[in-house]
Amino acid sequence: MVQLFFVAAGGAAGAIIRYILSLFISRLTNHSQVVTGTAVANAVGSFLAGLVMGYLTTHPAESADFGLFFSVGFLGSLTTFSTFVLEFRNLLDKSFSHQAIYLLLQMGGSLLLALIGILAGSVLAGGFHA
Amino acid sequence: MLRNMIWVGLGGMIGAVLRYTADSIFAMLFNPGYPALSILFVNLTGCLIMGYISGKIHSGSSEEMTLRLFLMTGILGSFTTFSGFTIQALSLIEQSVPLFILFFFGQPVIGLVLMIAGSYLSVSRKK
Repeated sequence: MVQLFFVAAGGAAGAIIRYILSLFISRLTNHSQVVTGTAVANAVGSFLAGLVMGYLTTHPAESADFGLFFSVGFLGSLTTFSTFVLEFRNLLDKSFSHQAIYLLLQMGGSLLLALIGILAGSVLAGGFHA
Repeated sequence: MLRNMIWVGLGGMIGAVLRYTADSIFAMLFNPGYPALSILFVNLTGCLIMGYISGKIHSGSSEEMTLRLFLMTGILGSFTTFSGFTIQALSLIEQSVPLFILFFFGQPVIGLVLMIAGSYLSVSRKK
């Protein structure tokens, strides 16, 4: 049962930061529908998830509670799939270039950053010098 | 503003706990290969429900805005996950490229179809 507490605490923090990011980025980009706070949250969250994963491959099970709070709770909630699809749906009546840039930013950007995160995580863990 | 953040945080708590519960159930049912399946499950059901709620609750009054923040940004935003989506996609590449393509490109397409279906359900149920 104590696991649920760590997940819930991380989940609350992740959702609140995603909400603040979406307000902030929306103001910064003059309410762009292509560059959104969701895209930033998903990219940052994917990078950090990769970093943790890369690090843990050589340092397994540092702390299960930390993983529940940070990876499952915080990063799982900071990033979102349903809002990503919702934002894309709202672009369906926009031009093809809007849709293409949105998908490239979200999917390409996040996948690339997750990969860089995994590599950076294993370098941090000393995986490439072992 | 602070009130909105509390609603989003409360929803985020519920969404994350529901996702963790779904993940634990998938771990019991489908050991090995379960993480990709449980992510597929939360993301696709999240899209369906998101479509339904976005069609049902419009951001007219401030009560409706708060309800949307709690349910959509909070619960569904946290129930579904993108970090799990990208990390699982990358670990699938190592196992099988067709599975990766299905997971990474198929999931958003199916999610979009389910979301539109959810909105359709919410409209057709209105009198």
